[in-house]
Amino acid sequence: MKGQGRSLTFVLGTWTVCAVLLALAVVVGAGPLASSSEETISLPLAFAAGAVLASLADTLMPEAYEQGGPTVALSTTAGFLLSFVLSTL
Amino acid sequence: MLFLVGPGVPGARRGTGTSGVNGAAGEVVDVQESLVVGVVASSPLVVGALAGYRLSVPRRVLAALLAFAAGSLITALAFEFFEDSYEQGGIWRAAVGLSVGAVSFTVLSHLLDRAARAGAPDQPEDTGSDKLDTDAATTGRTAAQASVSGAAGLALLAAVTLDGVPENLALGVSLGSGTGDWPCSRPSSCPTSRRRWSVARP
Repeated sequence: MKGQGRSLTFVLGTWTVCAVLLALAVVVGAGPLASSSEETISLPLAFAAGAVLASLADTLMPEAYEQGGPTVALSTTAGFLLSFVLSTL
Repeated sequence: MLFLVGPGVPGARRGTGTSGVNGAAGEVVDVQESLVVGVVASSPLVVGALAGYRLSVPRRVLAALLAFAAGSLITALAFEFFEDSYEQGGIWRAAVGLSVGAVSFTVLSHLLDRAARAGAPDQPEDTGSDKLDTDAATTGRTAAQASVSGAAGLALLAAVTLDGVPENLALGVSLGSGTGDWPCSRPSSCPTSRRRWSVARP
């Protein structure tokens, strides 16, 4: 964003708005949605999975490869491994 | 671009030890507590944006960080989001949710691309939502006017929002559920903090 000539205010502003949205989502989940069933929660979870998967294929992986070449595959593997290990602790 | 990958988000920690969880089942966590959790879980986004704006990262390092984040996101989406969704709601709900999420991101990303193409000729610098030329971001030269091929700050912003809002809804639900357990059935995966990724200045 910086390289595109965006001001610091714009960059911080958009990411702050995003952070505020995410914080509000926790409140909504803890309040109005607290009594909802497991089946209901499974939908937003799967939605998040779909969005992540699409962003990986659409943006993240092509971008990493374009910038870094074939060796990014090793970084991806390391990320998977470390993340998985942390999740089993 | 700076990635903060990993489990370093204390507020997002799930598991029975989560602070702010009321003991009695069904009791609702008050708004203040859930707000604190939400703010702590989301603030790395802003910190990452600031750091990414200030720091200048070599292109190779940037690529390695992106790829590393991609790897850890694969773990998150496969073993946490989708698996938990499947275990709680069955394959149909999980499949429908996954498809809708993927379509949503794809459409949004496509719209960003189109806005970039439309806006580039007239106002190269300051139109709403053109995707970024990341080469420019890393090398310091001026961004190409219609840099629509590469990935982009706003696409990643869209991804973080699309992923984060439903994820945090579920986090909030787990706070209010009375046990503090993230809705997951595999004990081994329960005490893990959420994998959170923050991207700034792509």
